[in-house]
Parts: sequence; structure tokens; C-alpha cells
Amino acid sequence: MIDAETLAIFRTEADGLVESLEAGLLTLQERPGDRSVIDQVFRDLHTLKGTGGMFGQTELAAFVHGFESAFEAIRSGTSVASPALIAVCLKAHDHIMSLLAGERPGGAGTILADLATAVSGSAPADEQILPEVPTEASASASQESGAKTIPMMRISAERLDEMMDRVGELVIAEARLAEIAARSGVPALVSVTEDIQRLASSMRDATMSIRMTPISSITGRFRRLVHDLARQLDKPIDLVIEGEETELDKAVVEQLAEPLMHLIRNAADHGIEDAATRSRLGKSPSGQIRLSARQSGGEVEVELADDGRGLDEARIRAKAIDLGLLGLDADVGSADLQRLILSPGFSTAQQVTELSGRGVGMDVVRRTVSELRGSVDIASSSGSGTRVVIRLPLTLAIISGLLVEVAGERFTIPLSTVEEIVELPERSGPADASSRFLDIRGRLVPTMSLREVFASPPAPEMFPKVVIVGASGARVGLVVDRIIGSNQTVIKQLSPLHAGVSTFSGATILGDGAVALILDVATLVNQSKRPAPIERHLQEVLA
Amino acid sequence: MSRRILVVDDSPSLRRMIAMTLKGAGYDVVEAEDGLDALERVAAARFDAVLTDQNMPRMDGLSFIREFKSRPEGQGIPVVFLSTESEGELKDKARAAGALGWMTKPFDQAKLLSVMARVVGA
Amino acid sequence: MTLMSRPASRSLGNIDVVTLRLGQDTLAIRAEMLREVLEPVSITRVPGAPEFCCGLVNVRGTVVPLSDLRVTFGMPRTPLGPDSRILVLDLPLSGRASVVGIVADAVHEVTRVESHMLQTVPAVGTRWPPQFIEAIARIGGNFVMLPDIPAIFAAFLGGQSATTVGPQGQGAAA
Repeated sequence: MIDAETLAIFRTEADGLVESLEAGLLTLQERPGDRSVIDQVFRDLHTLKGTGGMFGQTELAAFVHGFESAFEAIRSGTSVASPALIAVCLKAHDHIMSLLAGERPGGAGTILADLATAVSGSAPADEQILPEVPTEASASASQESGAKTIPMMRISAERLDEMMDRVGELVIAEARLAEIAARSGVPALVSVTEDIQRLASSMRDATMSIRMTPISSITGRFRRLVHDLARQLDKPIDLVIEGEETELDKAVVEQLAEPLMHLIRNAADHGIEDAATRSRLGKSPSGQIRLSARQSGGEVEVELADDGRGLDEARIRAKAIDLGLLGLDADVGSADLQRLILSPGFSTAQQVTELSGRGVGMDVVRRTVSELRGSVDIASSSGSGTRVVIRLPLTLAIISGLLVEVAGERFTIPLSTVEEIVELPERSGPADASSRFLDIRGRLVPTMSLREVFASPPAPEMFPKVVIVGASGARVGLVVDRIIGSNQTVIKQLSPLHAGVSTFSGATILGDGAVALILDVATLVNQSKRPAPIERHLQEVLA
Repeated sequence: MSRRILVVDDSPSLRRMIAMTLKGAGYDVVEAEDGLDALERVAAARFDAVLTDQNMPRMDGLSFIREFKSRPEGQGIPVVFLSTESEGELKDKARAAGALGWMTKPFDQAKLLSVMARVVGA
Repeated sequence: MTLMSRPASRSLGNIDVVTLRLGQDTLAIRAEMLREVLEPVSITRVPGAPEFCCGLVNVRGTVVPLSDLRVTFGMPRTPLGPDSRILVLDLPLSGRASVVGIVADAVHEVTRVESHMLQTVPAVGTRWPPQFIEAIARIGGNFVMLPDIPAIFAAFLGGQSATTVGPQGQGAAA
């Protein structure tokens, strides 16, 4: 796709080139041997050909190519720019002008033949010229230039990311301002601070909405993939896509492409039977892969379903036993068995085909999706197909966070998990934090000292705070030194080097440029149920 | 982290088209209008790849590639030469000068992106 | 479109390297991997991370993991000094283009190593783990080790690295 602005620049540029070409030809009429003018004309032709081709002006490019080939005789000195030759060149120039104007002039062949005759007496030999049908590219380019009803602008993804970062910083600064304003008690300051808070929050929403991208931005490649797979595998396959307009954060959409390609490959390769088998089974001869997306609440559900043979549970069981995932006598339900194919290194493909089945398929899907903070579920029924459901958060880029300090280091806790913040009663003392409980309105909540979890020096602050967080129905109190404040946290993924560190779900860059880690509350809540988190962590990493 | 690509071409529309295609795919793009301009750019910043045209005022693509490849900053940086089919012998000269390969104009966006992916990784 | 495939990156022809000091040793890293060299910036410790990569740094708005090759080569870890630098490298991790930082006690120069200056690593008789060394070069009478960066990181990701784990891994953050 070429946007209207680029197209406009091309038009202006081409007009300039054609003008320069004409001027050059006219100068040559007076000074036939002028080397610099000959070079100039040649360069103009060359650029016209190159850009014309790139902008879908194939007819123009082909014609200019012929013109250029003929003019090469003058440049190389085998021919002189005689008045007769210049006359034909000028005709060729006029032809270019009308091509650029979008007219459909005839006689290109005659002009080129005349040119060739004028330079050497023979017709151009090297190229088949002049496709008469407009190509797809030129058609879409002209459509684009015609459809200017809503002015659109393209923005680089990087600028958007930068804008998101700035918005994050703005919200942090605004929070600091609010604190100062509240302390000052100056009504005018409080009121202007409220205005700024409102503006910052609508700014954040607006920026997030710019980042939302419809799934349709990646479905083109799926259509192509299914088309290619169908041919490669010699199976008729239809791809049905629903809910293409569903929007997700652009980073999520981009990263979703690969796992979906994987699933589509799997469905085509292993799921869908060949036409003969399908007919025998009473199914329609062509298989169907259905990709559908829809938003529900703060999540988007993307489903990939096929109407193929379904998962082979007996083979999954055998493979799982083989891999030591299941005991020989294991009593596993259908759903749990099917979910096993999401385990690392699991692949049941009997034949390793060129397309899939090197034991990395579903594992990659699961890993990518969990990096996107989403989940994968699979359901299959023998003989009628497999359905994979991916659930993803609407946005990856930014969350509200609570910035805390522990032994001089700063960490972010996702605000959505924070239930309340209390002071740690002094009498409970610093020792043995993992076995301590706090009485929160009659309910006992276990607490964890983050100093201990992070193996920080055990010198407690005078008045530690406890951040009560909840995840999957359980609660835990995280003991921190200080609450710095809430902020908008732009999430950056951790590198695979830190895949073993489950205490953190990501990192973010603070206003002063330092990196702060984001706590994975679900992991911490699970740890709180067991003693000595660090030891357990050690075992995990060493295992 | 996005890859930084230098696009060298004297045609503003072509530069813009290539730049927009690459930026759309997440690359960082810097434009130069001819070989001399490009030499200044490569001296000022490190690029992951360079795409250059041949026919340009002041310094053409071949001279640029030779000069760039003789400098320390040119080592290990893939250069893709943009040529047209009528420039057969130029492709070999470009390779001899140190270009990794060439791409024939006209090319479409998909082709450009697939070449860039092969040259610098997606 | 015709495009040559890239020359095999592992071949040992003439190569450009950046030399650096790590402990008492001089190392050389392929210049083609190097994105930039940074002065030590604020390093964030990752509690619970293996000692080999227990830090994070902000490189132009990207969070980049910081690794310490001293752990791989069994050298003592000392706090970063005024000459310390962070080399930001382009390195595929688990098949994905990634950026990692490594610490150096000092960075010397970018130089060309001719193939005749290179020798492979004897399987025995070196104090460095041979599987992590691509080659040894003689530059100006000194032995310079070319660590096999992809192999080191691949081994770490594969969990085979002899790195220690745990709360004591704080050196790079010091």
C-alpha cells in the first residue's frame, strides 16, 4: 500500500524529472555532444524507470526502459544526438507525460521502434515491452489516491512507544504533584492538580486507543499460509475468519501472529484429513479452519478451530507415558490429557513432516501466549475437530502499578492486585516474617517480607508497610520499607535469560531512567503457602 | 530492539516508500540522498544494514559501497544494492565492492521485507 | 531478487574484534555483534537470578539483561570500577533476535585479527573451559581469548552452565 502523501511526492518528483528531461533534450539539440547533459538525461530516465516501477507504473517503467536502452547508444557514443533522434526523443517524452497524467496513449511500440531506428537502425531486441493491463499495484495505488475522505497519518511504532513512555512519565509526575498539592492544602493548587490528573488520565486512554490494532492486520498472511498449505499437502482447505475487526494492543497482535501460524499449520497438517478420507467419513471434502476473535471484558478471545480428525488421545497418553509425564496407571480425564500437548517438548506427530511436528509446536504457542500474559486452552473431540482458545489481555503495554522500596531498591506491584495497604504493627517484630500473620478485619493474612524474598540486607525500616495483594482467591501481605506511590507502568518483557526467575513478570523504566522489576503476584501468593521461598526458588532453578 | 537501516536513494518518493515499509515492519530507518550524504550518516551512527541505489548525484552507489567497506564502520554491515535489470554487470561490481547482494527494482513491500529479514533478521 | 546468503558467522577468516579486559585476561568479541559500549549506568539487581545474569540495564528505553562472563570463566567478581564498561551485543536467544549486555573491566580497541593469528583451543591444558572458547589469538605477543558468546548463552539457557544461583549474586549491582 502506498499512502496518498507518498504518491503525491512521487507525482511531484516525476513531473520534475520529465521537465528536466525535456530541458535536457532541448539543450542537446543545440549542443549534441554535451557530456554532462547526456548524463543528466540518462539519469532522469533511469530514476523515472526505477520509481515508476516501484509505484506500480509498470507501463511507464517498461516504456522508459525502452527509451533508456535506446538512449544508451548516445551515452556510449555509438550514436550522436542528431536532430532527427532528438525529435523522436521528444515524442517519447510526450508519451511519458501522458502516461503520467493517467491517460492511455497508444503508439508506444511505434515510438520505441522509431527511437531504435534513429539510433542504430534496428528494433530494440532485449525486452518485451508494454503490458496493456494495469497491474494490481497501480490499481490499488490509484484507488488509494482517490480515497482521501478521511485524512490518515502513519506513525512509526517507535514513536507510539515513545509517546506511551512519556504518558507513563506524565502520570508519575502527576502523582507526585497530587501528593504535594494535598499536603499544601492550597485550594487553587489542589484544583489545578485535579484538572491535570483528569487530563493525564484521558491522555493515557487516548494513547492506548491509538495503539489498538485490528486482528485483520495479521490475517492476510494466514490466508496466504492456508492457500500454500492446501497446495503443499494436497488437501482442499477453507479458511474462515470472523471478528477480524477485534482490536488488541499492537504489540499483542504482532506477537500473536507466530503462534497462530503454528496452530494453522498443525490444523492443516495433522488435523484435517485428505479429501478422500473426509468423503468416506461423510464430511465435506474440503476441510475448514476457522479463526475467530471477539472481545469480552478486558480480554480478547481468539479461537482457532478445525473440523479434522481431532486429537488422538491414545497417542497422547502413550507419548506422555514415554516422556514420564504420566504414570502407566494414571487415571486422567479427557480434558487433562488433551492439555498435556501444551507441555514442553511434546509432539505426537507420527511422521515428522516438513511442516510441523518437531516437538516444538504447541509448546511455543503456550510460551508465547503466556509471555503475553494470556492463557491457552484446548478442546478436541475425536473425529470432529480441535479447538484452541487463546485468551489475552487487551493491552500489554501499560498497567497501573504501585511503586515500593525495599532496602533501597524499587519494585512495582500491579495495582489491580493490591487490596489495601496497612502499617505493620510494631509488636509483630521483624523476625521470622514468613510465619507471621496479620489480622485484617478478623481474617488472618500471611505476610512475607520482601527483604527476605529478595535476599536484601535485613535492616528493617522503622515503620514498614504491608501491601495486601490477592490472586486466585488467596491473599498475602507483602512487607516493604516504603510506598513511593502509584504510577502508570509501561511493561517491558524480561529476556529469556531470566525465564527461571518466576518472582517477576517483567520490568519497567522509571522516570529517572532506572529499571524497576514488576512483581508476579500470583507466584508470590503461591510461595506464601510454603515456607522459605528462597530455598524453594533455589531448588527450582537448580532442578 | 529495532534494527537500524540506512536507505540511500536520490529519489525522495522512493526513499519514503522504502522507509515507510521498513518502519511499518518495526525497523528504524535513516535516509540519505546520495553516497556522500550516506557516508556522513554511517560515520555518525551504526546501522544494521544499508540499502543503496546506484545512480545518484555527487557520489554513486558503487563508490559509496567501496568507500564504506574500506572503513572500520563498514565491516560486518550488510549492504544491499538496489539495481534495475538493465544493470547486469553493475551487480557483479557491487558484489566485488562489498555488497552482500542485490535486489532488482521494482520490488514490492513483501519482497523488501523478506530480503531485510534475511539480511538482518526479522 | 537475488541475494547471497550471509557468510557462515562461525568461520574463522579475518575478523574484526573489540578487545577488552576481564580480570587479568584479555578477551576479544566479534565486532559484528557489538551494538554499542556504555559507561556503567544504574544497574538493577534481579533478586533470585543466577549470578551469570543478575542485572538489568536501560539501554535507550529497552530493558537489557546484563551478563557477567567472569562467572562463566570462574574469575572472581569485583565491583565495577571507573574503567568498567558495558558492551551491548546483538545476540539471538532461543532463536529470537535479542540484545544483551556484558560487563568488561575495561574496553581497549577495535582491531582486525588475521586468520594466521588464530589458533583453536587445545582440549586440555587451558584454565578456560574449552567449550566456551571459539579461538585464541596472538595479538602483539599476547594471548587473547575469543569467547564463544553464542555457545555460552546457549549453554546458560540450556541450564548446563556452571553458574551459581542465589541471593549472593550481587556483584554486578555493586
